[in-house]
Amino acid sequence: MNITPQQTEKLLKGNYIFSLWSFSMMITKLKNIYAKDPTPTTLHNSTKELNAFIEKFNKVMGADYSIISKL
Amino acid sequence: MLMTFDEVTKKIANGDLLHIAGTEGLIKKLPKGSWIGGSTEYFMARDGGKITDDLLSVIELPYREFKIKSYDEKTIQDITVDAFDNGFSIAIIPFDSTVHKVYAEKAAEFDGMFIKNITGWISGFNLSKSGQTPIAVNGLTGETYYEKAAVLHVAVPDDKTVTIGVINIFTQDENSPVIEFIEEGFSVKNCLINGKETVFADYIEQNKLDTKLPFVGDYSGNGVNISCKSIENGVVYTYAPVFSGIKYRIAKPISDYAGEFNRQLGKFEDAAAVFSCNCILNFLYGELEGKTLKAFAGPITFGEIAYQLVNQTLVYVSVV
Repeated sequence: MNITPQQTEKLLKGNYIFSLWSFSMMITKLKNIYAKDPTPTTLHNSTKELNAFIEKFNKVMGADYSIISKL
Repeated sequence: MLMTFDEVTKKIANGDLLHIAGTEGLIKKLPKGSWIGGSTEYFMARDGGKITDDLLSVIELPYREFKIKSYDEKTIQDITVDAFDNGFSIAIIPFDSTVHKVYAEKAAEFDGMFIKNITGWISGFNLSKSGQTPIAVNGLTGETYYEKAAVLHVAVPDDKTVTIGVINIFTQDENSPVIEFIEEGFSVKNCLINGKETVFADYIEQNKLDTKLPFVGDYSGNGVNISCKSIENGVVYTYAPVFSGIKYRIAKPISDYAGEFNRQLGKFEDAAAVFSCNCILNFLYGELEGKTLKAFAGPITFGEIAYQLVNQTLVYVSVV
């Protein structure tokens, strides 16, 4: 699965709750960055980082993967 | 597992890849080999919590591909660059060193953090003894660091996935106001309590808050604890930095610390952790000396690393 910048924006503006520690830490970091700099460049970079994470860790994301896939 | 100095020396001579924790004096005397070490005299052993200066906690890591590096406050950001793409890195950082502070404040911003699996702990000393200094040791070179992190980077087989887990018995108390900070760092004067600017030390005193309870930051579904160190001259000093943009609340009180730990550990007995560490505040406040926990033997530490620095938690690494 690859998420789009539009889905990333929804994720970073929303209040989703995740279980996997590393994923929730990453989301929080990206939310803070986007809150300070809500630009297409930030969204692009965040999307890239999120997709890299999902590709590497989808096997262990469990319910978090399900949340992302429904964005 | 707790071992004697001679037993550990044999394992080192055997070429085993080891993570070692123990009193400063013993760690410094160990022979060179494939290991990193850090100082503490507090341990969670299979038969209960212990304080000892004549045994060493040894975790054997069953992996062949590894490297050991050291980092100071200027180079610590390279920890994620040097970490294996598929693996984990255990960092041991001396308490109160400059690299400790820099890591705590900046780790989330390091390139590739959260994609690379960075764990570890802050090394310490026996709080009842004088003359000890927190250290980290690179076993390959025999160097002892007071102001550098010793990091063991480990690669795992391609068909395995690493996760770093955190067991945090504290949750946000829904009755607590939201606490936010404009200034970041290990010391706090002003904060916003439900949006109103307040001196944090005054808020704690006026509400007679139990400073053994951390305040808990909401990180998208997981809680990151900030433990209080001291309050002096209207400033609250903490064991981890506070960050802006995070909503904190005081933790819900816990009546049975060890009991709550064991209740939560019961969910993780099958985690097959290859490494774990637990906070000294849990050990002291939970009066864990002599008490057993269901799982996760290992060093008791002055801060834990689960990508970022965390407090009052148990951190573990699973390889599945």
